[in-house]
Amino acid sequence: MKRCYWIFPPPVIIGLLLLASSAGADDMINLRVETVLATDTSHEFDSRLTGMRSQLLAFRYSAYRLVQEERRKVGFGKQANFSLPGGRFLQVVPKEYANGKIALHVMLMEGTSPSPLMSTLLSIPNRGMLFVGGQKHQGGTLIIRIGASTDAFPAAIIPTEE
Amino acid sequence: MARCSHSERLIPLLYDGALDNALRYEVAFQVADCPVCTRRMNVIERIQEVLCQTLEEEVARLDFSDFWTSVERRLAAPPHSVWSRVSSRLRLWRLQWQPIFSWNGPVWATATALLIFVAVILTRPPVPRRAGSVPPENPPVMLALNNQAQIASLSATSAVFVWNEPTSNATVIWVDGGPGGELP
Repeated sequence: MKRCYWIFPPPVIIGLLLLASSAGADDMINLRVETVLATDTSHEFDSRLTGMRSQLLAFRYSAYRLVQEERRKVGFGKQANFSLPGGRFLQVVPKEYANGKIALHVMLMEGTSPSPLMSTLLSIPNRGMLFVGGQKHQGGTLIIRIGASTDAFPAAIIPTEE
Repeated sequence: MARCSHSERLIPLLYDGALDNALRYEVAFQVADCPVCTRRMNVIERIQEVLCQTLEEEVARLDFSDFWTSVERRLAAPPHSVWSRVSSRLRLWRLQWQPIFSWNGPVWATATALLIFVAVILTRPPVPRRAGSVPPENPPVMLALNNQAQIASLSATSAVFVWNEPTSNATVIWVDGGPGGELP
């Protein structure tokens, strides 16, 4: 009886499926949302914020404290929802990647109001960042740094002091 | 001409010694009893005899007097060319790896699958952290050269100020819910 030698065994199929899944995982956007409470009540600077010290000092507050940090990995068109201190709500939706920039839809909501406090559609460079601030909280002001990056596409980058 | 099934199939095998004991005895008895089979056996023996005689005559005609002289001449000849040495090494390499080349399909497929599996495991990105968890230590942050955002649309229910932070040119959107708005 003639045997058929070239039928793919299950390990090959599993391997190909894993390969496909790992290739698909690269088309994700890494979101990093850091919420900083800036006040003028002291001169304390949170050591976890060393990497953005120079950027924060431009806001001219005297004290900065990291109150929340979240990282998410989301696909294009998928919502990433972040609950912020004080009952606020941040929604980030990666829209597309074009010309080295990641397009994001950023929406900031407060309380139970159906209309967002702020809604914007913008593009930032891969591994770039954006600051959203101004909300009062516990005698200070919240400053939110939103970072977006992806490994699926090349980016012109420089290391920071962190 | 008379025919016998034994003479067609089994007698050549009997002559070559390719039959097992029981069948050999049976066919040998058949050859002894059957004139057709006896004649067939005689023909085969005669053919073999003529063939051997012809070969011996041909071999006897060959001249081996110059054989060892030629061998010595080849041994004393200058080294082979690069190409002949490479081809010799290739032949040796092929003989050395012959057992692996002769693997059958399933072995090759399994080996390929294992290679793919290991490659996938090694190239998979790290498992993402659970949402809300704080990393044990801060990984190095890589910043873009120019962080300036391109704003396609912006709407707000209160005063909004937009400017670029001077250090990394990152865009700042300042939303102030208070009356009249206030900059930091």
